[in-house]
Amino acid sequence: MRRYTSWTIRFVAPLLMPVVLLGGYVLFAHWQSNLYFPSLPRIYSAFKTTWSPHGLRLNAWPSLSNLLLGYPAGLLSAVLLGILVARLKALRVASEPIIAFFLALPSVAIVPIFIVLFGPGPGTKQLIIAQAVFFQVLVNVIDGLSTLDPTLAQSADLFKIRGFRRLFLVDLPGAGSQILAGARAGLSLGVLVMIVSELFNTRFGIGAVTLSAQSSFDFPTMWAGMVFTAIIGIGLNGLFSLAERPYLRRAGLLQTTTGA
Amino acid sequence: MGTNGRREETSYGRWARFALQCTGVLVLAALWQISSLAGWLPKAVAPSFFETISGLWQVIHTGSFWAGTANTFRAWAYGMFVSIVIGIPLGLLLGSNKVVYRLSRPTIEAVRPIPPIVILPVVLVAVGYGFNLSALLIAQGAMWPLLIMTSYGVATVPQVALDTATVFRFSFFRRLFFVRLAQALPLIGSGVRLAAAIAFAVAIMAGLVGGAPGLGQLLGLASQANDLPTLFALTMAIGFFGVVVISIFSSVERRLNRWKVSS
Amino acid sequence: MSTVPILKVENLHKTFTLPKGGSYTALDNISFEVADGEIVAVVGPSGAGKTTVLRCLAGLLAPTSGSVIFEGESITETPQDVAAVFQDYSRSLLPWLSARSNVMLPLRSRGLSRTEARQKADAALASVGLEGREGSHPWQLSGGMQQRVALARALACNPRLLFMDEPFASLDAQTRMDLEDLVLHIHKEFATTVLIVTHDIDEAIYLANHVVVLSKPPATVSQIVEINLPPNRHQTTTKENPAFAQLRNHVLTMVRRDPYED
Repeated sequence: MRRYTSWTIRFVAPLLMPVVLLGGYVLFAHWQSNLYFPSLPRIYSAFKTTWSPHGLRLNAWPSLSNLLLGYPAGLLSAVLLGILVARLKALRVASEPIIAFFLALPSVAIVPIFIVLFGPGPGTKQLIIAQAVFFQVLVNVIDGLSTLDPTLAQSADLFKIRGFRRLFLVDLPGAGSQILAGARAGLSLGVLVMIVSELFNTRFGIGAVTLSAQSSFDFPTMWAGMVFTAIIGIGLNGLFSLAERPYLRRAGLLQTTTGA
Repeated sequence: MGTNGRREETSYGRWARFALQCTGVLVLAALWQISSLAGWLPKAVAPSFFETISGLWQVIHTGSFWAGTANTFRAWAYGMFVSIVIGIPLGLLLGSNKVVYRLSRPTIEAVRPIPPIVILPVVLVAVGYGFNLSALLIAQGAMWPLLIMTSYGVATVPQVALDTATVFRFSFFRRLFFVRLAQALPLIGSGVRLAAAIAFAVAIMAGLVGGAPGLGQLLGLASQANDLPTLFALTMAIGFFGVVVISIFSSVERRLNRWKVSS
Repeated sequence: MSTVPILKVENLHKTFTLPKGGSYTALDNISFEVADGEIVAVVGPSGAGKTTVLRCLAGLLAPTSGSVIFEGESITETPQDVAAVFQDYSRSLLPWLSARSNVMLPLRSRGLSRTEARQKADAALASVGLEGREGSHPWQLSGGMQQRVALARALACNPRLLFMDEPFASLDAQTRMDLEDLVLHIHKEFATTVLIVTHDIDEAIYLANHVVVLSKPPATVSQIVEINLPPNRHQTTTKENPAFAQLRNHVLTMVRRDPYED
């Protein structure tokens, strides 16, 4: 009996809400019979044709390959620069307003400059993604490293742990959860600008195919594109959660809520 | 980076800090100017720092810039208002019941990473280009952090606080407002700050991509006209507005955090 | 027991500049000595700057004036032969490393090979009674065990001087007694000199040969009390000893002198 209940809670309960929402949409689409809100079967068939293996290669691959190159580039450069800036306090203070500016500047707003300067090619898009990720991660690396737990820093000082050993065994893991939070936020932002960068003079890509379906009144395909974008967002976030598990487990941050 | 406990004493005073920050900005501006003078940045392509500043000077003397700013912030304020009015009560509702919270949380967590631009196409066909598009997108984008933070804050109120409320026989509303909502306030503060920043970004995006009137639309027009000085100037202005929005809401957040027990 | 001072504190003075202007004098003229092989405890009223003293001595904080002389040399940074155990064991141990790796880390940065460091680490863990738990991560251990790991980490470095900053303050009373006895045992076995900062007067008297009593801030040394209890201490018999009660009374009245004076 108890087994059964915990099984229900783990697997059935989380699905309850999506099912209710989906059911709500079915009813809504049925009563509305509105062109903009096609029925579920029609979206499904459009999804199958738009995201067939051929469609995936044609439209999903260009977007995802940009992300695949831009995201690690932004992440890595931010971590490296962040380590440097966090070490030099004067540089850290001096760069504060600049970083604050680029963080406050919506990364979408910088897209036109890049497009005009470098054209609408894939390199530009990778650059756009990389810079959006860069500032998001940079600020977290700097903050995480410079607000390292004082007790931790103190005992590392006392035991004279220095150099790379200090960086890789104490400082970076100590700032780990914050860096990961930045990297996760950067991933979401990366997906966003990946889509946005495809809305300018672009023929292929997830964003391009969705917007062109919208402007040619092909609403099932438009929905197929929207659903696919949502799946990409959720899926990449899920992958990220899997990827950070080893760190979280080792740092003892993975315990399930055992009441506090 | 706490490499040494001794460092904490060498923290800069207020003025030294300010001077250092100004230096940082000046150095960056100088680098920009020098690199365009030296030809590292092709002059035909990227405007120099002074060209950008003079472009900014011209732009802020145009009526369309201020009209765009007004439109952007009108949509922003409207969207924020709607998202707060819906997001916080809904979060309170979802968070204060254990069963509802556990049922809704996986879905909300799953929805969180979906970029706010996803619903743009359908909103575009449903309400057309214009203010409504902007406001709706903003409200939708800003609602999620509010909903998530509020429900999380309300759901994770320490059991001791709830037990105290029970022992002293607090009424339902007193319990809801003075225990749950009050405890969640710092997190709600962060939610509002996040929402404000997202709302501003979405407001720009709605103009740029959806053609809604505002700064984003001006940005789109400048890029279509290949008018680089204006494009740079507008981007800079948008950054400044972003800084203003974020600083205001960060100070609000700090205020809400002040009474939080620091350990 | 020899009486050669291993640590000499002379006219230590520490003033903090406050971020919003003004200053706060935490320590005002602290002088005392720690002889080789003894246990010295520092006690004082709450907020007396006990931890500040210890951080100055360990070279983690630069004093405003005065000097700290360790083995005849003035301290400017943490000396090689010093180790420490902090109160906040959950944060002074690295949660992403196992108990063994935590103990190995300082040894490795002292240039020991992996195998050597590992042997020493396992020996140190065994000496604090953690045999078989070498592979556990700190968060898998109880508070008392985590503090044993921290103690092992300090011991593994073969320190000439071991600093302990409120080491047992976050533990429950029984675990605390176990660890106090462990400290005495280790002290006997390795002849380590220990300087312990604590707010617990019973603990100070129970463990120490000398108790340095600080005044409220700006702190000075009120008195250095010699503890002449029999050397083989025992949780019940030693604490029953009338001399213990007398010392306790003496120190306590000093620490709590005129609480309503101001």
